[in-house]
This record gives sequence, structure tokens and C-alpha cells, in this order.
Amino acid sequence: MRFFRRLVPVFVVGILIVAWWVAARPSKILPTPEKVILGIVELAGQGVLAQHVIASLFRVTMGYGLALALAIPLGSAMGWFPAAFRAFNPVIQLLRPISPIAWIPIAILWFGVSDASPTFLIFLSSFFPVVVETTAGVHLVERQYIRAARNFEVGGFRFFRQVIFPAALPQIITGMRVGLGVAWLVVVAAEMVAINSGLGYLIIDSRNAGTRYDLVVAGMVIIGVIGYLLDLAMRQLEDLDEVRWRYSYDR
Amino acid sequence: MTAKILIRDLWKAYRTDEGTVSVLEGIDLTVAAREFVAIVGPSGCGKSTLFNLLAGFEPPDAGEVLIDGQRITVPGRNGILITQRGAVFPWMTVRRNLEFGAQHMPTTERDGLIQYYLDLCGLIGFEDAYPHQLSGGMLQRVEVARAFMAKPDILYMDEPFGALDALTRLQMRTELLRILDRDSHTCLLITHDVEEALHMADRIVLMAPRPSRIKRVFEVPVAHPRATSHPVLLRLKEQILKELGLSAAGVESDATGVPPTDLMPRRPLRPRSGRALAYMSPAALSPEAAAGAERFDVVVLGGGPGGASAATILAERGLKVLVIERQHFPRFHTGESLLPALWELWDRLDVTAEIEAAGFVPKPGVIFGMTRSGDEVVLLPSEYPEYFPRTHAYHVERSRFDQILLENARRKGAEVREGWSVQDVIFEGDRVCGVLAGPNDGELRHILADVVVDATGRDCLISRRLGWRRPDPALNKVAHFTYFAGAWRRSAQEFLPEQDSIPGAAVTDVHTVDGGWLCYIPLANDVVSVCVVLDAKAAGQIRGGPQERFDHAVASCPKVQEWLRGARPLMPMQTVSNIAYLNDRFVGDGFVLVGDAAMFIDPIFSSGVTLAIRGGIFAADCILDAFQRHDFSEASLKPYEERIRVPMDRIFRIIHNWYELLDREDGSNMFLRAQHTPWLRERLIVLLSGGYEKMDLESFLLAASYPPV
Repeated sequence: MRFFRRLVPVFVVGILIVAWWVAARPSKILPTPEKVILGIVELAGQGVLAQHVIASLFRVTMGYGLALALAIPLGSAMGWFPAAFRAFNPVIQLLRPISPIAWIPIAILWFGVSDASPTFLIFLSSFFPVVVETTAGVHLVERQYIRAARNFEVGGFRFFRQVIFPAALPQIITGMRVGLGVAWLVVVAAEMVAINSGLGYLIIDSRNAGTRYDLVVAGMVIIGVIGYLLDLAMRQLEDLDEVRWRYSYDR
Repeated sequence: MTAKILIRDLWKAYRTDEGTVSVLEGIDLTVAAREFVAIVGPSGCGKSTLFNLLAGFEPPDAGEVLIDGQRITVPGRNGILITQRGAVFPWMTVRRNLEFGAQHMPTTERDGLIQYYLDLCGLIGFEDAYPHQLSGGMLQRVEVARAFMAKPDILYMDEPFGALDALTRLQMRTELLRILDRDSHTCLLITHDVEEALHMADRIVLMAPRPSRIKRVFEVPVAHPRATSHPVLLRLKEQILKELGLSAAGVESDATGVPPTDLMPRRPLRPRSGRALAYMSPAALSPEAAAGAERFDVVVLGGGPGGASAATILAERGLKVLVIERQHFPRFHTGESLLPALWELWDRLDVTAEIEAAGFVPKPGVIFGMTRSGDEVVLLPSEYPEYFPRTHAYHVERSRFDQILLENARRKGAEVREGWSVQDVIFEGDRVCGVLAGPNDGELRHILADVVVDATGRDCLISRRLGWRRPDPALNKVAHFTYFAGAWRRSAQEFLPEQDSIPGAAVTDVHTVDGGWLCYIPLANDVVSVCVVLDAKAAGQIRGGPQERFDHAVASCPKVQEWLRGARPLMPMQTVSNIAYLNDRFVGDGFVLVGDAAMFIDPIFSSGVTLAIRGGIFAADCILDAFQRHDFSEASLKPYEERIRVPMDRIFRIIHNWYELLDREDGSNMFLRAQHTPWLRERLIVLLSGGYEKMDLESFLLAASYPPV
């Protein structure tokens, strides 16, 4: 029974591939699944694929890392100190709805065509979800935990590290997961305009250089697979014993 | 009385959208150090707000809270608040939670304390579990353990067990009392459960809403451990419920007819007249015999420590009790080494003074000698003085000791007939309703009683008659013993630190011998009792009679052989069969089994007397409850069995473990390891001192059976 349940998603993917194959066969431009696979093999064989994947992942790591490094402390401060919340919240709410794509011209203006531009865009995209969730997480730490810490005379940084941060961590992780998803979404857009490596560049280059639609689709597939794997990895975080308590009820 | 907490004219109000709501209106209360005060009152009477003010979480509008004379302004680890919601951190393991409670301590001290409270709160094995993996009861134990870690002077408990099911709640209550008994804290408890308050508190403060102030304060003048069916408690409960506006009529079986003015009833607990004997008439009893029968509330068979203890408690509370003892006291019996756990029981029996005055030889501890390896393990309860009221015990001549207990029962109002034997038990259906007994050579009579206590020792009168008794061939021992004069006496001074020394004290020596072990007990007047306990099979292989077996065993232990050189035996060798046996049940309709009549294991750790006296007291408590309900069925008497099973099962397992380890005189032997491992040593000493419930047994046995690699 369990085996069949696991088979269902595989089956759905299979049907989609078959449908794709049927639809693409008469077309001269749209590649069939086997052509895409051959394309991936070709890219992998030349070593180009790895280069592009690494370039994209590098930018995401930089931008996302920077976002976490700023968003978590800021969010914590906003969640804990009402004054910090009053000061920063309007700015954050104002900037948050602006799509990172809209920042592209500014990014090129500021950073030129370099790794810094897409890194900046990725930073922007993942910063807001993390800061918002961290703020909420810290703000909503249950009173009895705070009281227990005061009762045991645990204060200062220790209080933050042992009580507030771990209490808010489940919600921070939710923010991180959303942030990483958006970051990966944005990396492709950022690379399409700004740079000459990465998976986004691969897609545009394949389209422009030789209308290699098989490679275009191959790039899409790889983006999808990596995005899926990244999300899986983030989900693993939610299974850590330190945060399970918060999620366990909806599982 | 020193005021630990002084509450002076405390006022508190909250502003809400609908105006100001007054929560506390002039609360005055003084709590003494180590006092346990319960606060009872309907919802909304400001109990929790009071705690928030006491613990310093909120400031009062007027008035003040002084702790040790200092005004409370901020929360601190001197007074820990435990609430029903629980504040155990779910992101930390149990161990980390406990660490959190004592961050101010040096690591080594903290680790020791963690181990201590893990053990005390029954959390061993769950150190690395996360709270979401624990049950509600376990979680509450973590909460309590963490609170204790901070070494607070005061515990504020706001319905700590409110979220637990009734059974767990009861268990936690008992456990908390046990822990509090060990560490002394001042405790304030908020509860809506009047019975909980009566079970635990020294004083009960009744709060009333609107105006929110203290309405009445009740003292609870009953010693621990308390049975909630104690008549004083029942009446207090009635009063409190009445004050709360609840009539007692609808609450359980409270209508016991206890007169309202009598705080400590010395009179019979129920009217005894007016019940025709014919009603009781069992099948085996002719109407004529019934007409001539004597009637008692309780008949106790056997005047040993178990029977005497049961009779003492029952008679003291006004029941009409008869003790039937076959022999005339003082009767001959072996020398015995008693355990420190007995002090609490003697206090309960009100016989401590007599025991102390009897001139028994004080026993500061016991030495276990491993003859083969030559190692000696000295176990002195005085190393861990917090567990028992006094850390020494006595070496006693059982004849004398048993007589003191029986005399005490007599003094407390029990009728004791020595030189009487019981011919048979009278059944009415499955129900025991009396005995057929008489003077040893005299005429038999019918004696009827609501409850028969079988304390006949290894005779096991009732259980044999019912075919319940189940021998345990795994522990089939034979014991040979005699008394010596002029044997060498080992002074206790060489082991005892100066401050713990007691004049005339001597240790008990237990040494392994070929086929078993022997016990060397120094008694008063230069007499030494030596008892050899051999495996029945091993004994059978030694040629000759008891004397030869005894000599053979002593010869295999050169140390004791040397001590006995030139000593003069005072009597012929005595022999007792010591096969272990069990009963699956300790109670039935109209009867209970106490002491050896319930279960006999092995004399190795001198547990027999402790268990018999404990059994007698537990049985008496339960029988008193049964008289309240006037229900003497098996179900009604079952609580006794459940209570005594705990220590009995525990000593049973320790003894089995001992015999498994007896042959291993190597590094895995728990006695040898206890010499160098403090926590193992603490457990061993407390368990072998009779504190069977005071230690976590699982972790001990685990440690004992799995040597460190």
C-alpha cells in the first residue's frame, strides 16, 4: 500500500512526460524529452553544465547568506524591542512588495555586470521573508518561557541564545525556506540580463546562440531539479529535534 | 516561627476596557520556613495574581511581599514558579533543561545535581529525550526537577498537576511529597482540588472572590504519609467544601458520621452494637457456636513485628483488636541487624523511646567482605545523612525487640493473648470472618472479626490453607545460627569519622563463604550472633549435620574463623529452612497477609523486619480506610497490597541481583564498584538501609549489571 502511494507521484510525472513527448513530436522547434536528456548529457560531457550550476549556486549562497546575516539579527531586534519595530517596520513593508526584477537596472548601475549584481538581487529577494518571519517568531515567543528565564535569572546574550532564538527558530526556518525558494527563482532572472555564466545565462545563450531549444529546456529542468533539492534540504531542517516541537502538531 | 514569606496588606487591580477590576484586596499571610501552604479558592479569586506578585513578576499596587525580610521586586531563582502550562523548554533535552536551572553553578557541582534530580524525579533514561517525546506526567517531573536545580528556598506551584489525568496527578502528588521530604523547601500550592491540598499541605488558606481576600485558614494536624480517608482529613474536607459553598453531600462518600467536634478520635470509628451475630454466621459456624463467639474488629494472628505494628496502629485508633501469639514472649529468636529505615516506622508506632532505651548495640553500618578476593566494602549510612532521621540502627536480640513491639501494641489498647494457637480460619464462602483458636492446651473458641490479619510468619496460615503459596526454588536456602560468647568484636571506630562515632557501636559483618554467606552480628553483653546461610543444594553436599555445615562454612572464611577462635557457643546449633516463597495476592475478602506471611525472600539484607513493620503499618492504614467505608472486601483492602508491593518487589530484585553477582568477585561486582563510584555507593547504601522507595532502582540495577568497559 505504502509502496503504491509512493508510486503515484512517479506515475504523474510519467504521464506528463508522455504527454510532452506526444505534443512535441510533430513540432520542429519544441524538443522531445529524449532530446532534452541528450542535451543534458551533452552539456555535462563538455563540463559546461557543472560550471553553470556552480556559478548559480555560488551567487545564491552569497546573496542568501548575506540576507540571513542581516535579516535574523534585525528581525530579532524588531521582534524584541518595540522601538526597533516601530523604526524599521514601515521601511521594510514599503520595500517588500517591490519585485527584485524591478531592481535590475539599479543593480547594473551600482554594481555593473559582475557577480555582485545578481548577488544583490538575490539578497533583496530573500531578505524580506526572513526578516518578517524572524520578527514574528521572536515577537510571539510564549510568555511562560520568558518568565522561566527571568525566574532562573538568565539574562543578556545567554537569554537570547538559549531562549529567544531557539523559541523563534521554527518560524525563522519557515522564513529561510521561503527566502531560499525566492532566491533560486530570482537567480535565473538576474543571470539572464546581467552576466555570462550560470543557469539563467545558459538558457538565454542557448536561445540566442543557436536556437538550441533542447538546451533551453534542459536548463529549465535542471533549475527545477535543483530548486526541488534545495527545498528538500530545508525541509530536513524542520526535522531537527530542536524545532520539531513546533511542527509536530500539523504532521 | 520564623517568617519566610511575609505578605502585608497586598492590593492589586487591573485596568481593562470596562474599567478597573480589583483582583486582590488586602491579603495578609505569613508563611514559615519549610511550611507547605495550599491556597484553595474558586476561579477568579486572584490566586494566580497573588503568585505573580509573590514571585516578583508583577509589582503590587499597595502593600508588600517580604521574603526573609527583603522586599521582592524582581523574580529570582530563590523562588521558582511552576505553572500548569509548563515552561519546560521544548527545544532542549531534559538534561539541558535541568542545566538551564543551574547555570550559575560550577559545572562539576551542576552535573552532580543533575544526576541527583534526574534520579529523584524518576527521569533516568530520559536525559536525552526532548519534551515532545514525553508524557504530560514526565514533563511535569522535568518542570519540578528543573525548579529544584536552582536550589530555591521557595516553590510556588500554580495548579502544577492541573493538566494531568487523575491517576498521574495522584502519583505526582506522592512523588512531590517524597522529594520535598528530602530537600526542605517552603512550598505554596494553588489548587482547586481540596483533597490534594489536604493530602499535601500543613495549612490550607481559603480565598474568596469579590472581595478577593483570605476567608479562612485551616491547619492540617495529620502526620505524613497521609491517607486521604483519615477521619480528620475527611472532616476538614467537609468544612472546606462547606466554606466554598459546596455541600459535602454530593461529594464522594463523605458522610462517615464522624462527630464534628472531635479532632483526634480515640473512640471506635463506627458504632459496633446493634448488629446481630447471626448475620455474620458463616456456613461452618453453628448458631450455638456463633452465639458463644467472641467479637473483635480485627484479629491479628502472630505477635511478631508485623502483627504487633498492625495491632498498634489499629488499636490506637480505637478499634477493638485481638493479637493471638502462639508463644510466650520473650521467645527465643536469632540476632538481627536492623536498618536505619526503621526510625520513621518506630516514630509512627510511637515506640522510638523504648527502642533507644533498650540498650541494643548501635550499628553504624555494614561491611560486606568478599572472602575470595579479600576485598571489604564498608557501607555507612552516615555518609548520606539526608535520607534517614538517624543514620545508625541497632543489632538486636529479636526476642527482646519483638517483645518491645508487642508490649507497645498492648499499651496502645490491643488485647494480646500469648500462648494461644489458631486451629483454623473460619470462612463464610470465600470470605474470612474469624478464627478458631484457644490456649495452647485449652478449649477452642470461635473468634469473629471484620478483618483477619495474617502475620503468622513462615507458617503462612491463610495462604497455605488457600493453596496460594508458591515456593521460589531459585532461592532455596538453609540457615544455621548460634550465639557465641567471647568472640572478637570489631570496633566501628576504625571506619567512622570522629563526629559520627557512637559509643559501643559495632558494624555488622557479612562475608561470602563456601556455598553462601555468613552474618556476624555483635550483640550486647559480649554476645555475637553468627548465622550461616547456605544454598540448600550446596548444604546437602556437606557431610554431617548442622554443626558440621556451620563449621565447614566458617572454615572457608579465614577471617571469621579467626574471630571465633576461643569463643564459646552458648547453645546448640539452630536450623531454619529459608526457602523463598511468594503469594500472588496479599489480600482477600476479610483478610490481609503481612510480613513473612505474605512473602519471604532471603535474609541477606535484613529486609524482613523492615518489610514486616512497614506491611503492618500499611495494612493498618488500609484497614482503617475499610472501616470508614465499612467494606472489607478484597477490593477494599487492595490498596495495602499495592503499597507494600513496591518495596517488596524492589528488595526481591536486589536480592536476586546479589546472588547473580555473588560469584563475580571481579570488577563487575556492584559492591566492589560502589567503593569507588559515589553515585552507585549512595544508591547501594540507601537501598540496603531499607530506603527501598527512596532510590531509582532501575538505574541502579542497570549500573550494577553492566560494568563499565
